[in-house]
Amino acid sequence: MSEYILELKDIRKGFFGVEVLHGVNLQFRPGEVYGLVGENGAGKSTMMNIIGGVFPADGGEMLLNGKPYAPQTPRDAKNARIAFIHQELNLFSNLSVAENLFIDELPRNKAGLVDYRYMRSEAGKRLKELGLEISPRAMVSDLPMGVRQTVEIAKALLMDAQIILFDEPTTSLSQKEKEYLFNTIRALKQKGVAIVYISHILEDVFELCDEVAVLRDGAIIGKRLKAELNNDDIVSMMVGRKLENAYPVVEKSIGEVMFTARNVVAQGVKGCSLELRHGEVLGIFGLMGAGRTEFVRALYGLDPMVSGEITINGKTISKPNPKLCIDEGMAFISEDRRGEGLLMPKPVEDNLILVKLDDIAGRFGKIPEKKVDELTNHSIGDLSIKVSDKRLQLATNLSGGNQQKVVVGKWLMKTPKMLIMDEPTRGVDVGAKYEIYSLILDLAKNGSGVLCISSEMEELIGICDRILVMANGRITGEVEMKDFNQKRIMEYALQGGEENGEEH
Amino acid sequence: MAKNTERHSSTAVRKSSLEFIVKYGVYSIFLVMFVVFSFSNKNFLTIRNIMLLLEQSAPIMIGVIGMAFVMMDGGIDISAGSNMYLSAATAALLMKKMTESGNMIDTLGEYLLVVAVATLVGLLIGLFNGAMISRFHIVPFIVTLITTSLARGIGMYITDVKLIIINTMGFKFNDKSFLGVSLLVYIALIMIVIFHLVMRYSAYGCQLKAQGNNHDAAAKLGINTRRNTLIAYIICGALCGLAGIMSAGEGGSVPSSFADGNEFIIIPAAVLGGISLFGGKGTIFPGAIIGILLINTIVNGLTMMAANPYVYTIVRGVIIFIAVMVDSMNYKGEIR
Repeated sequence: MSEYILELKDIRKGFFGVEVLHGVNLQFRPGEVYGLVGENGAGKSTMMNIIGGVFPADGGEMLLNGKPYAPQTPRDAKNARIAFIHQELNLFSNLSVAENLFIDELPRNKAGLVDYRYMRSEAGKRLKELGLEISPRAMVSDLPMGVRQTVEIAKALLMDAQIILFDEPTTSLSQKEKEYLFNTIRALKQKGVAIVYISHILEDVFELCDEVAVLRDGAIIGKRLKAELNNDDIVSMMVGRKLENAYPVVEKSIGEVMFTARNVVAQGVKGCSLELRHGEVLGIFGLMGAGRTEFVRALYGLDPMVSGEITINGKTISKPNPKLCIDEGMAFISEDRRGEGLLMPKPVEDNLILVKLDDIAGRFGKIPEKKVDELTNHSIGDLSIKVSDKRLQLATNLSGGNQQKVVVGKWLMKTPKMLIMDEPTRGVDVGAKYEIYSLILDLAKNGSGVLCISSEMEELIGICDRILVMANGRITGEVEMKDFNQKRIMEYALQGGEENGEEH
Repeated sequence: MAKNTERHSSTAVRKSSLEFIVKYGVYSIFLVMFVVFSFSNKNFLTIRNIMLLLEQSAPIMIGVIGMAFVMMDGGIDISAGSNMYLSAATAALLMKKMTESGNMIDTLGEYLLVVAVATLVGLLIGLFNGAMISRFHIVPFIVTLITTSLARGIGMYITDVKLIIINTMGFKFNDKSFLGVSLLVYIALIMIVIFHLVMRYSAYGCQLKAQGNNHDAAAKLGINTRRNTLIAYIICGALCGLAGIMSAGEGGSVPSSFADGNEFIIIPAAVLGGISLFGGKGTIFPGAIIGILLINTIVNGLTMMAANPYVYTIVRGVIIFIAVMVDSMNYKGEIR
């Protein structure tokens, strides 16, 4: 018996004739947490999918407890007690928590029907053991995102997994939920479970992992034990170059006011105003539920604005809608890129050219193929989007960061006068983040105004000229660049928090 | 976390008001219709008329139950009407053979044989639909559109487009009742009980509901989604076959236009009853059952008011429109 619970030997995998994993070798010991980091498209998810049985490897072999392991389906992985917690949740919103936990092996009573009583009591018991206060009868559609994630984790725990793979588990979690997750992971580690943890948030990886492996362009570049972890070292391994600065520096000048919003009231927004100037990058910070997203969605007319008005280019609009806003040169990048930002089952080229089509269409609406080809090639080059064939590869097959680049690239093609971005770098790796920041700042340099929402305060401090802080549907503070201070911003964000309890 | 739940509860308020309309809208329309018809015509709220209404609804109701399975999976079967026709026509030809020597169809065994053959024909059509959809990933709409044409065509071919009168052969349902309730209603009741249990309390029903919500996730969890889809179409086909022979036994004959367009009663009835066209949502009882009863109540009431028969088509169109609109509105509410 080897000391490893799982060994990967020379694992290879290709898509569309392009090899994306070039012989990966990794070993995992029981009771340890392994961090796996790398840029978008480095092959992390592909590797997890192979271990999790989503698709088989093209070459190489895996040894599980010393025996060959070659899962063909997720079921095989499950039978080998390997759990895979995907980045996007695999829950059925139309079913109850208990049904979700047991869906692939529903317990039956003597009549051959589902034994709901047993299932509910068992689910309730297990959830309680895990310290989760969720009713097994609760419908998943009624649960907030963070709680849904914990249900997903409960599912892995129920199957008594010996290896658990986490692919970006914290993207939709609040701080408290994240701490809970980390405590759970540590408890699992104590029990001898091997854990593979993929994340772009290096802090978390450092906090949690015993060993970190860096994947770049489909190969393991290096491994570090906990004691030798060093941020700069890991980052430079990831991107293959030394990152001088996490944020680009762009000289730009701020001009006249170009956009104002006055007393905007909408669902979850209780009267907010703001001014945006040419060439300015304005950040909006706030904790979850502060109303940031709701505010900007109302500005762009994605959700109805109850009262208030916006003025853009001297034109006042009291009931904005996306068409009007686009006509005025506004663009909106949603936080939900899978649902709202991209046409997932369409090729990259179609996605990139989508909003530009109107501008380039010729007589009778004919689309000039050559122009499309030129523009999209340009965009792919500019943003260094990793795509094997832009006409064949679908948006859904891109890695998270590359998807985001496509969304950004799409809107940049329009050279918007005003860009609203909601969490522009969520789930995006360090290298791609830098590129996206550069694009934002270049746009501002050319005189556009940028409104950027983020829950990462450092990011806002790094790229914004001014930061507005929201709490409980109101703007509670405004901080100029010279006064940027994490503590102060956080204090503003926590203001009005006490009111929360009475809001129901 | 507190903030989390707050955000959630505010959206819940918006959702619940919409949900109320969607959930109870049909019931309230049903109630209003019932009251209006009761007051406007003294013959409406009589046991005789209610029994007639139930008897008339019974065959189609069984088709709606089958459709509920297909729609739960997120699919659709528009071959329901043609399926009813081919099943009934095949059974009618069989009866013609059986009665050639002059004897009537009157024993339980003979009845069961006829019903079984019709159901089997329907099942085979469902099997074809399900196989094409689950194995070859052809869009359900297209596959069942093709079957619609095939089944109707085969039926016309084997019957020579001739009207087959079956009640003169002894096969009829409209004279068979127990305790004043038609046999058709009992058959429908049994089917409701069986398939409500399957949908609501069996592992199959639960998984079908799950995959109707998210096919990819279901497949990732190792649920046999192809098999479940196939079974859904088989259930739908078999129940349509049964509905076909019941309807023929009630009407007494099988013309070549038999059950023509019935899918446009069955599908809207299911949608009206809260079974989503987008999959993963709804119940057989009370949902689908209320749906078909509502449509038939309106038609029955209009008939009693001696309305112009062409008005039925218009009213049906309006009902379909409302049902589908409510379904779509509800779906949008779900995603956000």
